[in-house]
Amino acid sequence: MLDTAITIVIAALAAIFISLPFFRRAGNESAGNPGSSLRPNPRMEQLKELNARKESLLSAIKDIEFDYGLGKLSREDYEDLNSRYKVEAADVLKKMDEIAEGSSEAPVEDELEKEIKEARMRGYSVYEDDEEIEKEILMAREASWARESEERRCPECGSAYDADDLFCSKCGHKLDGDTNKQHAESV
Amino acid sequence: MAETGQISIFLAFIVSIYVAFAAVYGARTYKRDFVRSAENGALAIFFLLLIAVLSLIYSLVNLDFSLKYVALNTSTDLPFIYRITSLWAGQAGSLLLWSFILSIYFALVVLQTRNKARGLMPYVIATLAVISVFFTFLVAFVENPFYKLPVAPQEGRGLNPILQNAYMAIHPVTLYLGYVGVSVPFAFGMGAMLSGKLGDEWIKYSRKWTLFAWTFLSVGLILGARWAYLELGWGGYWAWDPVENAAFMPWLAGTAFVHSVMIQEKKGMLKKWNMSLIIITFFLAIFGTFITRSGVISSVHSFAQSDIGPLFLGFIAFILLFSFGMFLYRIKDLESENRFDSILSRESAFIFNNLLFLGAAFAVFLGTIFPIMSEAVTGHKILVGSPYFNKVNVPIALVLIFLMGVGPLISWRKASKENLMKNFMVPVIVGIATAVVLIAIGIRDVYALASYALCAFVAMTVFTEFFRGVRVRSRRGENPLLAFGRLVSRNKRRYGGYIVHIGVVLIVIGITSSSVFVTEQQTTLSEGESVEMRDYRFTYEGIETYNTPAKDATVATLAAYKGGKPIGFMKPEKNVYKYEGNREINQETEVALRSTFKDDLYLILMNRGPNGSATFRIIINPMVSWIWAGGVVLLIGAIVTMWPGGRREREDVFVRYTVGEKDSTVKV
Repeated sequence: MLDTAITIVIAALAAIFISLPFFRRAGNESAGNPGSSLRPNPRMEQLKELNARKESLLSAIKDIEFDYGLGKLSREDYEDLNSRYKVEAADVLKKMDEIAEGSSEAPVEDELEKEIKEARMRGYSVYEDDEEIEKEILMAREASWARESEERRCPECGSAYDADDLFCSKCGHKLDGDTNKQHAESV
Repeated sequence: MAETGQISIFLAFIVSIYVAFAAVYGARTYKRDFVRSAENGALAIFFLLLIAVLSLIYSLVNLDFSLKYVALNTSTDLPFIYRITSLWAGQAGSLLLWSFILSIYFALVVLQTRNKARGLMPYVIATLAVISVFFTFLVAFVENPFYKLPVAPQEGRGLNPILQNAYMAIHPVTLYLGYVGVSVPFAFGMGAMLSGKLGDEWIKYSRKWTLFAWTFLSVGLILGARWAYLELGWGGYWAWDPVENAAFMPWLAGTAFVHSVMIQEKKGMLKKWNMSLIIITFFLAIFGTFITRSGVISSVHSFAQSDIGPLFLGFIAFILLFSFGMFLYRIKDLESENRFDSILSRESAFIFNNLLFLGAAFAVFLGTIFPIMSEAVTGHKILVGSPYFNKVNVPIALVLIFLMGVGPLISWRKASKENLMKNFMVPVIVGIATAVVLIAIGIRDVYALASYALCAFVAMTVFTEFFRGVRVRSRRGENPLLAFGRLVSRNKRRYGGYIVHIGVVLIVIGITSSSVFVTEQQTTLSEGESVEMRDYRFTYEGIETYNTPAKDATVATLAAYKGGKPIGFMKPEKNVYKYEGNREINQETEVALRSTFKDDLYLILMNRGPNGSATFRIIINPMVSWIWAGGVVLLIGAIVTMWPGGRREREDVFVRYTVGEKDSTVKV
């Protein structure tokens, strides 16, 4: 008898618990929350995808830095891969900003920065190294924007160069290109 | 209590079916409340099965012999702790445990990921629910642990004495956590294919679960080996027994998967390969459960008698057809984003690693099912013994160890010649020097030499990795200890992985030493007689018997000496269990073991002869302890790898902020 009672109670509890979301819906909608649909938001999907891409590029760059620091990559290979990935990452960040700006919201990166700081205050650990890389990518991105408006010119021969070039690709003049050099020293 | 448990299992089965449909319907029609309801259903399954498990434990502890399962697996003289562990001593209980562990994973996955991978999750939930449907069906209708006997017997048959061992109490649970855990990455893979979100998301969210399951499979295998070594009393720890192979195969495929997902994460390559690997790993996990539980390997005839055999086969066929069907359907979207830059790269080392692991898994698979096949076809069972498995797997293992050293040292994408030379010089020299020294001290076994040299090579590469990392950091002004700590904590996956590799090296050294250099002797001694082996001497001092309520025990006492100095007494036992269980095994040998990192002394009392004489088997087994120590190191490394880190939190922050403002405010 007791068993039957317990069984009925268990079954009833399970049924109530499982059907709860259907009753909750009405309340949420009246509170003005349109979020009970799962219909994909294309902007959100795109941003997510770009974000994932960015993360994987970041970790690839981190790996390259690491391998170079440990002497597993030659300098040329390191520079080649590093700049390739950074340009790609800069593109991704640009696209992300475009999406964010397109919806008239604050630029993603500023907000992200703020959130990271807040997260840190709350005691989350955030990789230093990642932040360093992120900074560099931001620099690379700014550089790529700069390049679009006014291209950098080699003081020796006047040919265009990229922000992260160490030497002029035309004449070989040493450039005070910033990111790579600094990094090579710090590693 | 039993009725409650019975009904709970039945309800869990019904809810599982509902969850599968609700999740898919919700995802298809974009109705979140259905998905939410499915999520709650997943939690409900957990609570229902928890009730079932608790009520079965209650019946076991209180020895309710009216239940067939309790009567078959316990007896009044069974200690309390083994009454609880007999939950997984028999078929029905094991399957209940399987379902219950699945429901734990299921609930945790739902709680952890439901607000993150929204497009993916409904299908992940549906996949896990389908697996749950199958197992709760088995427990509810085919192998019900709450089956009542028409007449309750006075006494139960008792727990098989070889299962009354601390390792046996935890080993099955560990292994099940591994087997069942493989369901989670499989569900994420299926979720990716069903939802069409074939990016890295499924790998990212399932990664920790994959590592978790892999770790438990590894630890389960090692605990099983240790149990066999201590309890079965034949002097070894691994015999290529079908049940051992059953756990080893998903481990092999899972190890390949753990490595190859890294390439997808970093390079967007190998998507098809990873998807196939997780399907294969899950298949092998289910197949492993099937082999272990159906008794099919001992004979095809037992397969015919067992009800669950055909059901399992049907389920396995369904999994393979459905998942590879989905795979073909999505094959265009699984194209790689990148290409190989060079043959000399870590990527290609990983590919070789994968092929070898799969090759090994396939070889073990063939050897395991060959007896069934031969019996089915010819009517005669052709046994496949250790020589086959060793012949195939030892060379594969040696190449894998070599790759384990190579992988970390060559770069992603592209390795240049000078760098290879520079990086490999020292480890290669260390490896060769090891071989030379070993030849000089008289070791001639080729496999042993290769194995030791390769282990030295790998150990050196890992050491170099740590050393260089610390050096780079300490050049920035950190003291070496801090540099080491930060190096590991900032790159947990990388360095945790290296620690796991060190564990594997220790295990390989232990296996090599104990299988190549074992010394063994069987001898009959009269009281006072001695036998010498290596630099040990054993003097037989006498034999006596004692009785406990459970058993009649015969104990022999031998004094052991090393180089003339006494090192203690060793007391191997032979026990006869009293209760009238019609267990196949009611005799049990209790091995006397003296274990050091140099060697194990392993004494078995074979027979008691006339006039107080006795026959012993004495085994000197070098460096077996290295295997267990390696297991501990492996576990530590795995924990480091899985330790929560900063990146995930940052990503969550990002996603929440940019894309989730409106949607994530809806909380149920």
